Amino acid sequence: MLGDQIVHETLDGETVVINLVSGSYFSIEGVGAEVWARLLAGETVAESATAIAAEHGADARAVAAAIVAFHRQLFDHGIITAPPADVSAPSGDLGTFAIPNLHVYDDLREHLLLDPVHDVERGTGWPAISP
Amino acid sequence: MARHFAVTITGARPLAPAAQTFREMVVDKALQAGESATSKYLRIAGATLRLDIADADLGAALLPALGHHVVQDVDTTTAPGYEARLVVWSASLPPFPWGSSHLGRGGAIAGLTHGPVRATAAVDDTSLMLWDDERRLACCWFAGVHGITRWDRAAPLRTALHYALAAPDRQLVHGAAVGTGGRGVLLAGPGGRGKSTTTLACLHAGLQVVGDDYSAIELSNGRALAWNLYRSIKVGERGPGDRDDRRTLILGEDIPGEPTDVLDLAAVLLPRVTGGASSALVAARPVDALGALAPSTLLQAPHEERPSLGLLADLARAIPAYHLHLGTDRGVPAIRQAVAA
Repeated sequence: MLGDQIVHETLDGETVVINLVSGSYFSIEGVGAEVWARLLAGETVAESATAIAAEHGADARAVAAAIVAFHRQLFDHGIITAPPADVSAPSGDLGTFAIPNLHVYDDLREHLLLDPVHDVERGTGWPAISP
Repeated sequence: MARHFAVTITGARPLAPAAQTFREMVVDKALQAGESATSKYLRIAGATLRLDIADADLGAALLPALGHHVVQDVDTTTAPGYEARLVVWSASLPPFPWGSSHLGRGGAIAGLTHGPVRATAAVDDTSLMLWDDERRLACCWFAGVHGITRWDRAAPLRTALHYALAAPDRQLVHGAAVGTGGRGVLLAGPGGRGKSTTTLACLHAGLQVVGDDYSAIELSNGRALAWNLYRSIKVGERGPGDRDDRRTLILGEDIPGEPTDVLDLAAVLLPRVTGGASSALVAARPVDALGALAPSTLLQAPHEERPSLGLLADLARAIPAYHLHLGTDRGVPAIRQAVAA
């Protein structure tokens, strides 16, 4: 399910995900961390949507659409390997459920991906990339 | 010679099975070289390492940043007397049976990224590090002194130490560690965030310095420790485009001072230059500390087939984290405050 170079950890209800291939890292907050945990537990979108909709007084189909949109973000960033099924855009009563979001930090990815020993131009050094 | 930016090992071609035999030859060559080498014992991060240097020129290039760890009182009457052995040599090797397409992050060689033998190589074939976990042996080969980059001089044998010092409660981390009175803070974040500048300011202010770039962290008995690896420190300003034009100086030789071997960590600080007059601490979340520590630490380590955060998440849980807004005071008062908290 997860890419083989993905590492992650949840601390105090917030999740950090690092894609060691792309050099990007991500944070998932709030209900997104719950959606993430349910994904890791192997739940289907329908199972997660049903449970979350009950917690938040929401329409399960609307929640499912939001979850799929979140999974699409994960897929687009190489975090999960299987694309989610296409569903319509979230609509309907979401109750207290807030649409989860993936915060992307990729401004430093090129520097982070550089290995200061193996990848840099010898005379100049990091972060000058060897030709 | 042309060198390539190896973005990922995911697309690397598998190493031909016959090439696996090359690794045994490398181990044999290293052991042969070790027989006629000059042996030193280093005490690093609580571990005793045997360092066999078979090429004096390589030793002269690598030892300045490591020589302060040499100890004389190692008991070698009980085998082996050390936790890992590093052999550094330069006698010629046959052509490597891999090409640049086999190399991934950190020079990791496809097919040698998991299991008891791990290996990394420079894309231009000027250096090779092979770690044999069963023998606890790091085979550190260089084509000659020209195979040693300026980064090898600043952080010698870093990949070998990554493996040799790895333990359930200890790992290398990309972070600076400074403090006072035996207590300190870990400055975390990618290059350009002010770690080295802050470390140098702390040195000038009389604070203790464990390192400005890499440390070994140890989590045990409810304590978080930062151990010194190198006595190198970078000085100067980065150039245009964040280019690293800084010079590497050796503490105690090029610049007054000595590194501190270990500090009891009180906090993780996430520095960022803000340009105000006074530096300030702002409470950060554990997830912020992990986001600052983990990417650069993991991405500067060799590719692993099954990567993990290791101790980094436990460290983020164990001690508080603060954003360090660096002012023109270079953060020294704020660091004293964090250590005293």
